[in-house]
Amino acid sequence: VDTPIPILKLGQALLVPIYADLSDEAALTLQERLLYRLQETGARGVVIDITVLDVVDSFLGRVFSDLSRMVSLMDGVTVLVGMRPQVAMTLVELGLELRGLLSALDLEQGLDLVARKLSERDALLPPASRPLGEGLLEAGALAFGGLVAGGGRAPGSGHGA
Amino acid sequence: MELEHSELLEVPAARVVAEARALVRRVMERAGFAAMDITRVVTATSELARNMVKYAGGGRVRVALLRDEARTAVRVEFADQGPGIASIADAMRDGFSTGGGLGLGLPGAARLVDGFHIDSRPGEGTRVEIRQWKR
Repeated sequence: VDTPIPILKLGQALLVPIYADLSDEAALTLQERLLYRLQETGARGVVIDITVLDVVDSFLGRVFSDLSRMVSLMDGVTVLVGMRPQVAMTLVELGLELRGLLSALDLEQGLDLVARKLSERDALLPPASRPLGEGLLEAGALAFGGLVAGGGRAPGSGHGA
Repeated sequence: MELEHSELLEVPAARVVAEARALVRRVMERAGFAAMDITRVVTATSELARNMVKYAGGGRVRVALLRDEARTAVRVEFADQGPGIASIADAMRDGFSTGGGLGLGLPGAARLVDGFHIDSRPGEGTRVEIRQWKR
């Protein structure tokens, strides 16, 4: 691929329509560009559309799987959409595990899945407590306080009071 | 069995792994192979071409169509002049890798195709051949 793969923002997701076979180099470049676009745009979902790909080899599979874990470190969710049946069969026969990757049948379901995953995740945290670091701390304090005092405490009321 | 068609590709760098895929795909599409078989052989080609680049710094990929009275097959050969493989039995085991990879290359490629053959001598290089019948 000589023309870079487009990265399109759609709501809270970045949409990546892969339109042709990717060289190893192009795959790694895409991985890096996506992480920077996540940071720039504040998007939290990545949807990679591989409908046109008839081959995903162990290298590309690993790039997707690594990407998904990197995106998750940046508080995002990655969904692979449009995998052809022969690609799914081949990946399994190869013995490749796409760790951390979610997938959906098509683009529409992929976007739904991103929205659902993000709202599930947000539901675990008090809405005002984003970004990630503070949110996790406060959720931890809640659970702790609940255990010690048998519930009924306000969020963030502190430990050991 | 008669050789019907043959194309050769030198694979000097990682960029050319994609070209090896394109070459094999083109030959198989022209010969009317099913999409499933094209995916299998092209994926195996990708693994084997990358192995060559990684371990031998490059090599040659030769694609040929073979035909007898009843059937057509595609054959892809990968030949390099790299360090060779000390133990083919080890190299054919899932999860075995000397290159820091996942170790799926050789055994994975072998599982995808009808025929798989490997020859290697330390110091002389490696030759792998895969074959797939047209259904």
